[in-house]
Amino acid sequence: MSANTVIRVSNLVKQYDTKTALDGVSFDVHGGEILGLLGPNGAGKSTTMKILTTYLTATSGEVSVDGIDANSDPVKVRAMLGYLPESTPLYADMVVYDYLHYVGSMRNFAKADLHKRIAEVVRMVGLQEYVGFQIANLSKGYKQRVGLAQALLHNPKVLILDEPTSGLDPNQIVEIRNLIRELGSNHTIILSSHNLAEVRQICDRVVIIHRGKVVADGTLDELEGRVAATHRILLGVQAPAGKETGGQAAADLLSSLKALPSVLSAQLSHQSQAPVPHATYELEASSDIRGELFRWAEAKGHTLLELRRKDLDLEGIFQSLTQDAQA
Amino acid sequence: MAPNIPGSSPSNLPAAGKAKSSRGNRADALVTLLATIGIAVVLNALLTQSNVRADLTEQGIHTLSPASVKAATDLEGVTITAYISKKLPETVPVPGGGKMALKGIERAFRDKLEEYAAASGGKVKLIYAEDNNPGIGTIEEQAEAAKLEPFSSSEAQLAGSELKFARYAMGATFHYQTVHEVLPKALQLGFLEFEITKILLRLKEKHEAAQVQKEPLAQGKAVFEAVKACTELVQKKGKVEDAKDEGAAGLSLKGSTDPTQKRLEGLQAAKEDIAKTCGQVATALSAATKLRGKSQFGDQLLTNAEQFKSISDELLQYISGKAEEAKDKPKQAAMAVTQLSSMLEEFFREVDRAHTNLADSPGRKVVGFLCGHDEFCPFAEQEPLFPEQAAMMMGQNNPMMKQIVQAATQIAQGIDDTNSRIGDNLFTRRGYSIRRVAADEPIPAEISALIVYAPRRALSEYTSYQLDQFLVAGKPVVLFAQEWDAAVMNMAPAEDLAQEMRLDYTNIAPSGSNLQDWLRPYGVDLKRELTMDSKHVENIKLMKLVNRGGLQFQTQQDFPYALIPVATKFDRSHPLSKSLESLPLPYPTSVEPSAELAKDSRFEVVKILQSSESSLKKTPPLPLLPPALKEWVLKEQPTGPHTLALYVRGPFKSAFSGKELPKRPEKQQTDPSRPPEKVSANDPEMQKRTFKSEGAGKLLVVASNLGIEGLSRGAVLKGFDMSKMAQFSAEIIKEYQGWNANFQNWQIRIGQVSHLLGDNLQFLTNVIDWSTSHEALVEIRSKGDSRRPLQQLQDGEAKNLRIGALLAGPLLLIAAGLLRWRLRKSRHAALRV
Amino acid sequence: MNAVLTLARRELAATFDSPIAYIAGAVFLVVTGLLFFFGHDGTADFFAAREATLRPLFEYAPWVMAVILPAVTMRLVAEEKKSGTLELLVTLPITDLQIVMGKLLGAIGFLAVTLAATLVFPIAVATIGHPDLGAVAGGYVGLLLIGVAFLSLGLLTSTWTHNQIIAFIVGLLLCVFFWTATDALLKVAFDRPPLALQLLSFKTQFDDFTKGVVDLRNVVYFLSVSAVAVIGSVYSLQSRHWK
Repeated sequence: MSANTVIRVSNLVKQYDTKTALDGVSFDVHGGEILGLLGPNGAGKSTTMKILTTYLTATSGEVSVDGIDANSDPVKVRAMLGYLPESTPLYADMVVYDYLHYVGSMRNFAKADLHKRIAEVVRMVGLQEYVGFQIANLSKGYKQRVGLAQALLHNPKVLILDEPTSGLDPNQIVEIRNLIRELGSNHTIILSSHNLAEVRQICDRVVIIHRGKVVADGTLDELEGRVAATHRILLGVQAPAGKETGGQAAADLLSSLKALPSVLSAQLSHQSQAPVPHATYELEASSDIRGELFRWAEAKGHTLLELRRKDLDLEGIFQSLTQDAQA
Repeated sequence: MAPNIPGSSPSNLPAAGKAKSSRGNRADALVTLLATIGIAVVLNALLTQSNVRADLTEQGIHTLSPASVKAATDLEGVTITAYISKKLPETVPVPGGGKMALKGIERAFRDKLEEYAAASGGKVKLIYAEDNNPGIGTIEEQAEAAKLEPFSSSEAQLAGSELKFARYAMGATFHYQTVHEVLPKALQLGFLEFEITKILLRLKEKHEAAQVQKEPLAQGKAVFEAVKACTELVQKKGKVEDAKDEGAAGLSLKGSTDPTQKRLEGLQAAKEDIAKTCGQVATALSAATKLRGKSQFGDQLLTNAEQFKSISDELLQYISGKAEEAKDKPKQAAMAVTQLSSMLEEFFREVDRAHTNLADSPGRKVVGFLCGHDEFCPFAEQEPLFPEQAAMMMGQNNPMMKQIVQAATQIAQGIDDTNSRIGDNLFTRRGYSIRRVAADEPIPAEISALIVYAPRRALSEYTSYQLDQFLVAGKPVVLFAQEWDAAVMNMAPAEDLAQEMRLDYTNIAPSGSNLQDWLRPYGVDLKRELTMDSKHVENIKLMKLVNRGGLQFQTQQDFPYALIPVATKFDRSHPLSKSLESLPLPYPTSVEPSAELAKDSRFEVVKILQSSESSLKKTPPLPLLPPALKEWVLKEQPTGPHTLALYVRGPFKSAFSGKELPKRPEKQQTDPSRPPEKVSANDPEMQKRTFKSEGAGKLLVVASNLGIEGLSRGAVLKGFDMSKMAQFSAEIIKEYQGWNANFQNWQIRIGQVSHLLGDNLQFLTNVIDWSTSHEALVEIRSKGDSRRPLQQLQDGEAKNLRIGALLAGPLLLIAAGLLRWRLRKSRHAALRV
Repeated sequence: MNAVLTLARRELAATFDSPIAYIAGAVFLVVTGLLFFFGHDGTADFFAAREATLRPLFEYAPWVMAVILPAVTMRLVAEEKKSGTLELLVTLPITDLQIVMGKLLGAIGFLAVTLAATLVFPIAVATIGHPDLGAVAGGYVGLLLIGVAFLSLGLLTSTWTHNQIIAFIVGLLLCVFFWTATDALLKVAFDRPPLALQLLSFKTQFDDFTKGVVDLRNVVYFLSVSAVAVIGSVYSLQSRHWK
């Protein structure tokens, strides 16, 4: 264990009646780190976070924050944590300022400090204009800011954010992500997500949970390295002028693609007449062959419409990882 | 990273340490829950025996008064035996119909007794009678044997095949040294403390007095025991087993199966035994020298025992066959024996009663009621209305007269019965010793306080003088003054018999009392104006006759009545008024101290009761019907408060000093056949009394009769003159109808204020307790169940108050809510960081 | 302690921010007032009886409280369970006991305000008579204690569900049961119910207060019912750990 380990999760098992939600989850989080907890819905991310925040107790296994066991001194652990649960439950009938004041009082702030701190936090999350608003009347994004503000209020060592961007519109998502990034500079953060791109943007490290188990733990690049033995490339071409663009032509192209060296497989993924007649192919290759493909198209006289490497999506990673695990 | 974590310091987290065991572990949490339940159950169970309570009522209604605590600690070694039925019914019937729920009474009774035992510091021992101890029977049987008053439930219960009212007991006996008292029935929780403390005080007095009167008491007891032994023996020997004995005992002609015959035979067989046992009565009687002439009850006991003895002597004559008239006539002898033995039992009961009274009498103070001026005088008249011979003579003359004589005798009888019943129920049964003090006679020495209750005729000079001397002798004199006779919606004597009865006679006239004159020399000014009130009044219940379909119905309606003002101001320093909350006084006048008396610092002058500020005083004529009077009173200027009861204590000067002392008038003998009364003036005790010109005395004057109107021959049989009765005339029939109406009007008037009598009788008994120096009791009783009345409201006022009270709360709440909402809104709009 | 008071203050504010407080309060006042003035069958007339006593108020008020108070407590936990705010609440650095106490205290605040509003009745009576103020005080002590017991029971049922209506109905049944149904049930079950069971009835325990007597036994009884309900609520909150 590194001296810098702030959170240690070891061998967590959570059993609900007959269902096993967590089956031996272990990971560490280091100080100042932003850890992404990745996994599909129902994988056990939220359960892990609920145990971390001491809302639930593990059937077995241990969680400690800053060396304090969450099971034996939950109140002390809670004091070190800021928590934003999934879907941001807040007292809708309260006004932003009052709500933050309430949370601050519950966290034993001295009255004089509290107002100052609320002002700070409100500025930090960009809620200055809204302190007098009833929470019920705020947009989803601002609600999320209120949720972050309450989690931040006591300047906690650790922030635990459960799906902080879900249900937000793209602009809001960007804002919130930036905010979390900023916070990461002086907080240890665990956030859960099922969005790989988000994790890529924000997180230093990723723990992937699948069916109650940790299937991967590392930086995103490491992980991608592990799963990226094959390269997926999208290729879109305009049908050559004068040529028939029917099934035959597309199939011809496909077989010529397949004949290229280092192409492992290829398939026609999309074909359309509008706005211009075109076909899109998905290739798997043993290396990044975009250069060759460009030259190939030039040589063959195809007008290249699209040529890009396809990102690994979560599904893909899981597939690969679980295939790995099976293999 | 800045570890600025306000909540993390352990001192801020009191429950942090505990969390370990209570969290996450189902077993631990369950243990905590079960432990809490367990502790709660054990704690509650342990506390059932505790008696820690705070009595928040203003007068400590539910806490023992200091007087009670003192009574409990004054006696060393009192044993209280409580008899409480195991299974009490839900309700018991109350007199006058209706039921009283018993819920919680048992617990309250036990609590109260235990409070005494605890307060006494071990001097009072409390025992609960056990059910079905071998040989002593059920609790109810034990209670009956201990002279408690068992009661039955409202609902009959099916016992076997028949409906039965089960009998229950709840009461206690109190033993102290040689004396004994009984709390027969403890169902009136409000009076429980009063009753128990009274018993404790009585025990002490009785014990002390019994020490002094040991000898007469022992002699009385010997007489009683002898009488009892004789009765029991005769009962036993004369017992006839035959069940067919019922009813016509003496008429049966069946020879030797005749029960009377059998009884005679049975008694004859034991004649020596009977002669010996019953002979003891004579012995005991002749030995009872110390008893004779010492007290009323002692004399009663002796008189009854003597009669018993003469009957038993006669019985013996028959049994031994010596009786002249029964010789050779066995049938007559047998019948006589049966009659005599039942008479014997009757007289035994009399002896028993007299003995109980005698045993109970030591230390009891006697309160005198002056009689002879149409006062409230709760005794039967001593003389019959018509001497027997006169009645017979009158009847012979005229059958019509005979009827009238009979009817008048009946009225007189009714008056006597009512009065003696009132005396019995209100006073004697409640443990007061009351005595008639006849007009124009010296006041007997045994009287320790005198009550003059609303006389409606003038006191004679001699009676005035007697009262005066009683007062300066330092004994309390209590006057209730009724200066006006008011009749509201009474019956008027119908002009002839055929006419319908009507209830519309309304009149007010001065009563004939001269209390005003009697009081003046002592500086007490009894006013003649009636005091009335516009606000603080009680209701009068008026009966109306309604004719419906040829049938007359009585209906009753309540009216607030200005002539029944409620006293609202009380002097809190005087025991009588210390804890009163209200007292309604029908047709009161008022009584004030004279200017000199008020200035005289030697006198203590206490205005015990006063009417409210809204009261006023007026001399009739007045409109008497409630609605008219109400209007009239509202127009008058209030002059209150007026004093309705006044207490004066100090060195009174006799009103007769320097005057010639009045002579005792010659007593007219109405019935020549009666033996002349002993002239008590010749009594050596009386002669010892000499004129006293000054002395410290206590005088209490209440300017109303409290609604307790006297029923007397003088007031009912107005104008009755025996000499007139000799001759029949139409005049007499009319007079007779008047008498009849007077009697019924008395009932009507009592009925009109009957709802006030509870409180007012309580005040009266308080006055009696106070006058016999049982001031502690006054205080306890006053706090018992005192009613706190509301002001009389006009119809509209009640409605407004009700609507106001119903709406004020919700409106206040909603107004506060709106205000809060507004404030929040403006505060939120102004919120900045 | 600070946290308990903060929580209580929030709960009280939340209660009075919602119309239910005003509806419940107004209904309580009006119904109690009507019962006080007219009796349960509408035939009694307080002014005709002409007695300056508040006993009818103390006899009827618990009935109304048994119905109204569960409506106030139903939201306490059930609402937070439903909206998810409970998760934030219990992950604040406080214990579950503090949470329950805070919520109860907030509800007691509502009770106190409502009882204070009923003071119009003693005041109305005092304008036209002299009620025994000590006895009135005793009655109010009793109402407060029995009210706290009702609130604790209501709070307990609110921890059992996230459905406020169910919390209300179960709470109502529980309160009415403790207030009176024990009497009726005992009568059916026993010819003469054992003392221990009779003492379970709130009514029996409440009686002395209406007379102006504050007996330690009665006080301890109501407090222990409240304590058991509070610990039961804590247990119910904690049950999330082992469910």
